[in-house]
Order: sequence, then structure tokens, then C-alpha cells
Amino acid sequence: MNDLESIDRWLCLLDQRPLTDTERAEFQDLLKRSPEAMDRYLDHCEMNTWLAAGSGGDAIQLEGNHHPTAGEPVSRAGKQKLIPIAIGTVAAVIAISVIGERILTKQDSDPEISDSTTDATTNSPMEPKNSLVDLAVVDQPREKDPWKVINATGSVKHPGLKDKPIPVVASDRPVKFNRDIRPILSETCFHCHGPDEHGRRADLRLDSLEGATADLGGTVAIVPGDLTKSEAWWRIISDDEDELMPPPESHLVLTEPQKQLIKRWIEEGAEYEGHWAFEAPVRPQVPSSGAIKNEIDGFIRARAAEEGLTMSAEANPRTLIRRLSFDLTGLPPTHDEVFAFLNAYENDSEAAWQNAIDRLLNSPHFGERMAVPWLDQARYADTNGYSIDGGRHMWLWRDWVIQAYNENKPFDEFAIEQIAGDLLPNATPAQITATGFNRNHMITHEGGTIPEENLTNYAADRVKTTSEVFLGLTMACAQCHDHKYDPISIREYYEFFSFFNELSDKGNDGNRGVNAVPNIMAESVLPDTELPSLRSELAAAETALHESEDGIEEWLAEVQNNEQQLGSGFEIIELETLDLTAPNRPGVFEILDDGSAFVSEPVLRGGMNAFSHAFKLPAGTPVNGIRIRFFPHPEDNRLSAYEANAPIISTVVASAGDQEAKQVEHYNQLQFAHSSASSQFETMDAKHVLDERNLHLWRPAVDDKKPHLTLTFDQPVNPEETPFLTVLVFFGQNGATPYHWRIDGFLGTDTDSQFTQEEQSVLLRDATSWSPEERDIVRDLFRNEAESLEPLRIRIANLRERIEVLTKAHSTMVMDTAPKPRDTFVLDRGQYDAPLDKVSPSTPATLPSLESKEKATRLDLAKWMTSTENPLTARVAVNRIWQVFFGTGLVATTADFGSQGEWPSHPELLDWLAVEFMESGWDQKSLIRKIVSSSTYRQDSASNPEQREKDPNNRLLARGPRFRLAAEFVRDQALAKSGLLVPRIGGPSVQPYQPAGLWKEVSHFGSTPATKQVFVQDRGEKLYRRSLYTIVKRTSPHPAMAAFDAPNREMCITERGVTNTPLQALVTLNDPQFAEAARVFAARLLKDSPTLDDEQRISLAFEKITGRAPDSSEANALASFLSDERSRFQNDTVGANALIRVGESPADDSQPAVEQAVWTQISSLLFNLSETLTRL
Amino acid sequence: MKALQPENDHPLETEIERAQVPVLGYLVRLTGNLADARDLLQATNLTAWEKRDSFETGSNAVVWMRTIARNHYRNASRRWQRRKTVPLLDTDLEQMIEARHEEREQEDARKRRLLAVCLEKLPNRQRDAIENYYLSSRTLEEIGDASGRNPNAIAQLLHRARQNLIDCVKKESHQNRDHEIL
Repeated sequence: MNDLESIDRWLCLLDQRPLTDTERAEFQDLLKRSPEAMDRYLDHCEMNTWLAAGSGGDAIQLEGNHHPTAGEPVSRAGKQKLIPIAIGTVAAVIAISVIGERILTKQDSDPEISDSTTDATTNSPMEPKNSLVDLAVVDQPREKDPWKVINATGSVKHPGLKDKPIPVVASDRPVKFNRDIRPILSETCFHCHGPDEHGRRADLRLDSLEGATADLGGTVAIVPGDLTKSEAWWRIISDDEDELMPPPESHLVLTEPQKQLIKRWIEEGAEYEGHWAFEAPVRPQVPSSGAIKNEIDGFIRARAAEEGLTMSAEANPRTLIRRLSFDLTGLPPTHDEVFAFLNAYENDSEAAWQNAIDRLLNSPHFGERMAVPWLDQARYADTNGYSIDGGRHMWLWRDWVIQAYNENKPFDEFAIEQIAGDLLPNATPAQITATGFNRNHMITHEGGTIPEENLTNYAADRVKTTSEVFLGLTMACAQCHDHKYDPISIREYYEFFSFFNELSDKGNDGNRGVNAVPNIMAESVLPDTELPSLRSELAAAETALHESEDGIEEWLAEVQNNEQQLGSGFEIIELETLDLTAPNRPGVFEILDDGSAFVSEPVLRGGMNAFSHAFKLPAGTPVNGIRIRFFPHPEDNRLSAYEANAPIISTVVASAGDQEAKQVEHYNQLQFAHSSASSQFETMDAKHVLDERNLHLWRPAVDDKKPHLTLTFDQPVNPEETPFLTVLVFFGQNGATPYHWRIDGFLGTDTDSQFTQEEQSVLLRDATSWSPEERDIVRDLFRNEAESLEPLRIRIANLRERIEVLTKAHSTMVMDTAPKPRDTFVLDRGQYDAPLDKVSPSTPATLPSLESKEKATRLDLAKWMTSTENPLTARVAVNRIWQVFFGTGLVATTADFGSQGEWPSHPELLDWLAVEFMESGWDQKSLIRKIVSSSTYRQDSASNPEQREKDPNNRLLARGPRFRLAAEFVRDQALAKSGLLVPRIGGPSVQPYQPAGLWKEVSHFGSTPATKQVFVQDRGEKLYRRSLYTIVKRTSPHPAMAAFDAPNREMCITERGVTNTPLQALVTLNDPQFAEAARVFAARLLKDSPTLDDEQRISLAFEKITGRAPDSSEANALASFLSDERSRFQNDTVGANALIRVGESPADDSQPAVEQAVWTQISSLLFNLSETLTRL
Repeated sequence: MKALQPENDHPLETEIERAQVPVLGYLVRLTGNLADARDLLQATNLTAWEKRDSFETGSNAVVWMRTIARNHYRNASRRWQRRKTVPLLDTDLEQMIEARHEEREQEDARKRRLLAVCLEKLPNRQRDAIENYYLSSRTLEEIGDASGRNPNAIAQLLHRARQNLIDCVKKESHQNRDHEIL
């Protein structure tokens, strides 16, 4: 109840009786706390006063000489002299006269006060109540938006019951409480008349027969079989907004069909049923109906037949193999796989199908595909979330999930290890790694947050996730009060909570990219079969680099030339300092008269700061770069107040524009060609400032008392065009901020070398004078520095990292039990600081009881969840797997099997699958095989008008399911079809192309030691990994993933949205990843089909991407597009060359650029077809 | 001199008369309901009249009567509760309420002028209830009995009616203000 609802309630109550002590305390608390409530209170007080005053109904009794004494009763009707209450305003007089007039006219006809049935001003005919019953159902008393979206709770956003309605059953089918009535009552009544004792109104509960039929002082809500005696019915059809239920202010409306159902249900005896999902599934009889592939078809056909729907024919084999490949691996079939399947299918369709299933279930990509929805549910991410959102390392857990699917780990083990792997006897590192499931929640280390509150939030997240994922229960609703719809009390919530409140985690942890405790070092569970090839590949690449001499002359010539040019034309250009700001607290600082920056009173602790400088360039020659000079303090002659006594810089970023800017424009940063410095301390090289991460720093040598750092722009900055320069300098660790510095521009060439003095002296001499050692120095420099060898160096780095992934131990967060576990209390209103009763771990009473001899542990809980007695776990699991293959679960609300959840579209099938699943030993692959083997799954997904009319959302599956590919698979398809895909499994998440400024926008860039504050794009093979490895930074999801509805992983998500927006086309057309895929696909196409003419090549491209040949109109459209593009690019070879160089993979210069560009456009178009983005 | 005095015999009589609305308003704020406020106003008027000689001419009658009202209210709260107990509002809250009330007062005068317009707009049954309760001074029970509904339903009905009036007055007031600005 919100404050206004509360105060309204109190006001009504105060009109009737004095408040009790407890009530008064609550009332006072509300008024003191809520200005809103206070104003509402005063509104009513004033209105009361005005109305009373205006009415003149009250009068002061004064009479001549007789003054009643205190004990004398005062009679209102007495014949005393009346002093009418003062009337302040003219309008109030009018008010009285209006009322007076009405009273007069009214009293003529009706001396009694009004009653809705006799009120002449309403339109309803004056008829006895009985005859109103049917009229009310036929009439629409109120017109409300039928697509209401406000759930009674307003919190958890379940899809509304109407989102994907299951077709209404034939009208003569007997009403069933669980199927037909409970969803209605739950949505519209239980909020006030449900299981929550505290929120219950009028002492009425409608979720049990007992409650609904209780005598509440002469009225009974529901009298089974007797509509006219059922008060609830009268309230539902009332046209009086004071009586109507649900009340108008709830914004809940019963539709006419819903009212009809309730009417029939009461008439048919108002039979209640226990909630279906809380009763253990029993294997039902499989309906036998015609030719079927397996049991699934029996249930589906029988149900469709009830609605007069007939099943669709099998889809064509090209569609089938593409469907199956995407569903089982998230990847499209290759061109060859399509043809192999077509041939086999022609011979023996069933065998071909089963073989394809075998092949795909055994593919290592099966685990990747199945992991995607699991990662959504487990809220897997690579950053901690909250404000700072620094990095974490949980990929070992993610790889455990992939491997578990690939190994076909039985679901009960899969669940037990993730909930309580650490408590298993002799738990293996892999089993402990699995418990990372419940450490994937967001974690904060932000200063000023309250550790106890954070810990409460973490445990609450574990409860929410565990209950939704495994039990399909929205237990989170009971964190602050008894569940409004399901039999879960707040006490039971905290009993469940205590299972997850006993680990040794800390309330403020996870900074600097170090995993929050508890964590372990563990090795990957992935098979290391690729190790031998990795090692030989690495050895070959290293040898190639070590022996490389190609291009050394050109490189040397350039380097020597640069060294000779050092300092030529160098001239400092003083800038006008406009502003100096710091996002953190560096102490007192100022701009001195000469424009330099001076920290006069640095903070004693800290000293890790960023400074943003705004400058104006003087008119004149464009400047080639900036130099930052540091000066000693005039008094103590020190460079900084800290131990290092030197400036330490992690990075410098800058932007220039035509307006003054206090902050660097991150989407328009200036690029630096190189950096140098007057000196360097050990390996703290000036080049490190070009890497925006806080990993490496520059620091001058100890004896350098007047150090400077110089950054050269890749393009000069012209003061005529962009006179305003903004420079952000990060002193990137504690104790790094100097006292005094200034930034200037410069003309000419930087004076300092990027090489060490020794290197420089060698380079400046003629090659003929080098000793063998000096020769080696130059060769090493070439191999380490030359741009031409960068791809090779990247490849080596990536291979080394990959080997380490598979062979070394890495950190991962896990569950444990603290030596002294925290006690758990019921928290009043969910407040971390309002403990009530102490509780111990247990499970809700409405479910089978938890077996444990002593205090129950998480392992007991995990075993309880996966016990065959548990009515929920198996049903929830099979429903989720069903959802993977049909888009919607048999229960559409896959996270809510409670009262607010949907009645299953096929309850018997759900139970049959759940029992089968448990009896098979929780065998997931076998369940999946069963599903994809069914003829239901294999149906054509085209719909006919009858199907669209009767079952627009295909809940009855009389046609095949079709849906847009998941975000990850849209990108994976482009990578796979172009041949760019690097199909390695697992490992740390990767950072493929994305706009560079995004993270900086939301992060604490430069002012925190937390990692993942700045995006640095990966290079080499990491650009082409499958999309489930794309880094998930919670506060800045990858745009291409977000555009296609991938969740941000802040909390457990069991169903993704599926939207279609123009942004998606912008991604698939323009994202470098997709543009690169199109041009690489085109280059290959040209190379592989040199003899084909345009028409044939169009057909081949079409078939490769969509899996089928184009029809003539499609081919014609493409041919006409081809000729348009060809004439465009023939006149724009620059554009053509740019297009075929999008992305980092090398361009294929063996084909003419124009032809590549033309076919790139064709490929891009094909990758953008709706059919390509859809799994038919 | 007597001829110069209008209808009222005693100078305080006019003052008491003028104090009726402010004191009633005060009592409503203290008690949260009209019925109690009305009873207390009666008692306050009686006491005021009895002690009329202690009233210093020229001082503020509203303030004087409010003090009396407050005492009655304190006594009454004890009686109502039939035990030693605190009144509906504690001192802090009372001060908060009065402070907020004063802040609002200026606007209230203009809003009150709009009440007539809004009464017209009320649905019939709500207007009827207002008439019965405020004009005819019927109790919730009386109104309820006559219409076959319980007092709680009537209280809610009245509450809704008041809320409608409050909303309407606010709305009209905004519209009027817009006109003034134009």
C-alpha cells in the first residue's frame, strides 16, 4: 500500500471510530514520514471544515440570558438562538444554495437518501437485482484499456495473461479452477484477498474455499451454486464505483469473458483445487491420435483437435537442417552439411534426421548454445555491476556450464553442483567452481555503501535467482511481506534466505579486478585436446617472428630518418588555460597566473587523480602535439608531496573542438601517433600512456628534476578549425599527483626519442659500423616494434593466452560456509537493519518437507530440489528446455509456476515430460532428442489464416515454431558464413569491435583502480569468437547484443524479449563486425567461384546464406541491385577500397576491389534478409 | 451606545462567531474527523461563553478559543479511549500539521471559492452523501441504515466524494490561475 492509500484508509477509519494505540502509532509515523500523506490529510480536514461550515448544519447555541452549564446536555434541535457559522466567501454561499436546492427537489420525490437502483440520473433501468445479473455481463459498464499492463504488484513484470493467450476452449467444457479461475482471481483479487495476512482487506480471502465461503457478518463472498447469494458476484458486476470489485483505483479490470467464467464457475459449484504446480506430477496416459513420431505428438495433436486444428506438414529438409543446427548449436549448417543432409534425407528421412541430431548433440557447440539461456538465468557477467562496475573473472564457471552440457551432465547433478558443489564429499575443484552460479550476482565495493546492506542484497539475489531458476517460484516477493499470491510467508522467505547467508563473503569487496572472496584458483574443465596444435602453432609463430627480416630495411630507414629529425623546428606554443577540474578530491588546486596547474594542498592519503584541462589554442600554425612539463615546488623543491616524488601517469586523452569543452569528448578523441619523455623510471615507459587502461604507467627517472612528457598527434590540430583543446591527464595510482605542471602545444618535431639512449646511439649510426650485438639490438627492435609484424605478435600473444587458459589455474568466485556463519533473521519489511525473529534454514511448508538430521545445509537444499518428490524442479526444467525449441514454454511464465503463473497450455504433456525426465535420470540430451524428434517440432512453420485466427501465438503448435535468432546467433551466423569464426570454446571473455567511448561514458574512467573502466578492443582471433564470449559489462551492454534483446545480466532473466526495431538493421548493415563479415564472404565467393556468371553467383550466395535457392523474383531483384552497385562502385574506387578494408582481417587484393565491393553489398543484403535473421 | 451594537449582545459574540470556521478546522485537524470536531466545537463554544469575562478585548479570539478547544480535545481523547492514553496526534506532529496548514492557508482561500463549481460536478450519490452528512448532520450509521449499507461503505463513499472535491478544486484553481496569467 502506498502512502496515499494508507492515509485514505486511516481517514475512513477515523470517521468511524477512534484508533487503537498501534494504529495511532502507525498513523503518526505515516504523517511524519510522508509529506504527501500530510497534504492528503490536510486536504481532507479542510474539505471537511469547508463543507461543514458551508452547510450551516452546525450552529452555536447561545440564548439570551440562559447559558447552559457544562453538565447540561446540548441539544442541536433545541430552540436556542442560533448563530449561524460565519461564512467567509461568496462562493460558499453559492455552495449552500446549490445543496439547498437539491435537497428541496430531492426531498419532494424521495425523502430517503439515494440508492443506486433508484437514482433517476443513472441510465440503468430500475429493475429488481436478479434481472440485472445477465445485463451486467452483457453491458460494458466501464470502458478501460483492455491491454492493461499494470500488474497488481507493479514489481515483477510477468507477461500479462493476455500476452500469449492460449486459445479459449470450447464453451461447453466444464470450468476448471486451476486452468480457468485461479489465474483470474490471482491477477485481480489476491493482492487484497490472498495469502498475505497483513495486506488482506475486509478479512476476506479468495484463494481458498474456506475463506471464500466464510460468513462475514451476514454476507458470504461465494456461495457455491448460488450466484445471487454470492456477494463477490454482485461486487464484480456492480455499476457503483464504491462497491465495484476490483476497485477502480486498482486499475484492474475483469473482462467480460473472465466474468462469464467466474459466473459459470460459481454456478457449477465453485470448486476449488490445490495449486497444480505444488502437486507432484504423475505420468499421464498418452493420447493416441493417428500417426505420430513420439508421445509429444500425441498430446499436441489431441489438444489441437479440441480446437479443430490440424497439424501442419513436415517442413522441407533445407529448413529442417537449418532449424536443427541453430537450435542445437546456435550456428547455421555449412553449405556442405546442407547438401549431405539433403542427400541422406532423400534416402531415409528418419535416419537422416536422427543422424543429424546425433551429430549436433555431440558437437562441442551444443554446450555453447545451451549455455546462452543458462547464463541469462544465472546473470553471468564479466563485471561487478553497480556504479563502478569493475571487472571480475567468472569465465571458469561459464566454461563449466558449457562442458556440463557437452558431457550431458544429468540435470540433478547439474543443479546440485551449482547450488552446493562445495559441500559434496571430497568436492573437486570443478564442483566448487560450479557454485559460482550463486556468486554471479552484482557486487559492490563502493565507498559509503553499508556492508550489511550489501550482504543482504546479495543473499536476496541468490534467493530470487535460485527460486526462479530451479523452482519457478517468485520467492523474492516475500522479502518484505508475505507473498501476495503464493503460500510463502516472509518467515519462510528468510528460512530459505539463510541457506545463502552463511558464506564468508564481504559486504565491500571486488575492487582492482580481484575477485571478491570467497574465491579459488582452479583449472578449466574444458578438454585440452587443442593443446598440441596450439603449441605447435605457437612455436611456428614464434620462430617466424624471431627469424623475420622482411621489411627490416624499410623500417630501419624510417626509424633512422625519424631519429635524425628529432627536434627539428620544435617550438613550444603556450596555450590559454580556460579551466582546470578534477573528478576526485586531489586537495586544493589552482591555475596560476602563467596558466600552469598547481596543487597547493594535496590530500595526504590518496593522490590518484584525474585532471581535465581546457585550453584555447593561439591563432596561427597548427600544433603537432602537446608537452606536459613538471616543476618542483618552490619551497621544498619536490616534484610531489608523495613518496615517489614524481608524476606518475597512466594515460592522457584529448579532444579538440570549435567550442570550449571542460570534458574530453570521448567519441571524438584525438589520436596520438607516439609519446616520449625526458626520462623513464625502470620499465615505466612513456609509450604506456597511450594505453588508456590503468595497467602500465609512465614515471620519470629519479634524478630527472624537470621531467616532461610529449605526445604527438597523428594529425596536427588546426586552431582555425578547432581552437579549443581539452586534455585529461590521469595520475593513475595513489601518490601519483605532482605539485606543479603545465601543458603546452608544440610546432615541429618532438625533441625526444622513443628509444633508449643505447638504442638511439646504435640507430643513429650507419649499419655497416654495427657490432654483432648491436645488430641483434636492431633486429629485436624491429621484431618488437615494426607495425608490419603487429599481426604476428598479436597472434603469438593470443596463442600464449589460450595455452594458459587451458593449462593454468585461474581465479573464480565460489560459495563456501564461513567458520562462523552469519545468523539470519526475519527482516522487517526486508530492511537489513530491522531484524525480527532469528530463523534457521528451511524450505516453504507448502512443498514437500526437507530431510535433514541436523541443521539443514545448502546440500540438503540441493538434494531436496532435485528429489523426485519435488513437484516443481523437473517441470520447471523441462519447460525451460521446451522454451528453447518452441520459443514459449508450455507454461509461458517460465519463472513463475505459482498462482500468478500461467496455466500450462498442455498440462498433461508437461507432466509426462517431467516424469519422463526424472525417470531417465534427468538426461537433458535425451529430453532434447525426444523434443526435436517429434513431428510437432518438424512441422512447417508457415501459418494459414485459420491458424492465425484461432491461435495467433501458436500456443497449440499446430504449426512449427519460428522466431528471430537470439542476438548471439545473429552475429555468430555472420561470422560462420564468412569463414571468420574462430570456434574455440571458452576462456576469458573477449572485446570485439564496439564504439570506443561507450564504457568511458558510464565508468569511473581514470579515478578508480577497478578494471574494465575503458574499452580496449581485442585484436586478432579474439575479434571472431562466438558471441557468448563477448564481454558482458553490466552498465554498458554490447550495442549489437542489446539491439537484439540480449539482457544486461543484472539479474536473473528466464525469458528474453523479442523485439524488432530499426536499430537491428543498423547493426547488421553497419557494425564493422557485420560489414567485415559481408566483405570477407564476398571475397571468398569470388575466389571460390571464378567461373560463375552473375546469375549463378547470386544463386550460390543466396543458397550459402539462407540454405535455399532464390526464386526468380528474388534473383531478379538481386541482379538489378548488383548492376546498380556495380555502376556506383565503378565510379567510386576509393569507396570500394574502403569498403573492402572494413575490420581488421586482411583484404584480399587478388580480386578487383570494385567487384569485391559490389559483392559485399549483395552479401550484406543477404545477411540482412528477414529469413536470414529468422529460424524458420 | 447600545444602539451602535448590531444584533449581538456581547462584544465577544461576534468574535466567537468569526472564530467558528478556524476553530472547527483546527479541531478537524486534531481529531481527523468531523463528528468529533463538531462535538468539541460545541463544548468549546460553551466554555468560551462561560469564561467570556476572562477574554481580553482586543486580543485574538481565535487563538483564545483554540486554547480552549485544545483542552477539550485533550480531555475528550482520554474519555474516548476509556483509559489513560495519548491523543491522536502527539505534540510534534501537531506542530508539523499546523505549520503545514499555515503554509497552505493562502492558497486555500482561493480554492474554497471554487467549491461550489465542484459540488455541481460530483456524481449524484456522492453529492447526496455530502448533503446528508454535512447539511443534515446525519451519522454514518443513519445514512448507512437508510441505504442498506454498512458505515464503512458510507465512510468510504464520503471519503471518495471529498477526494473528488479536493481534486476538482485543485484542478479548477490551476485553470483559473492560468487564466489570470494570460
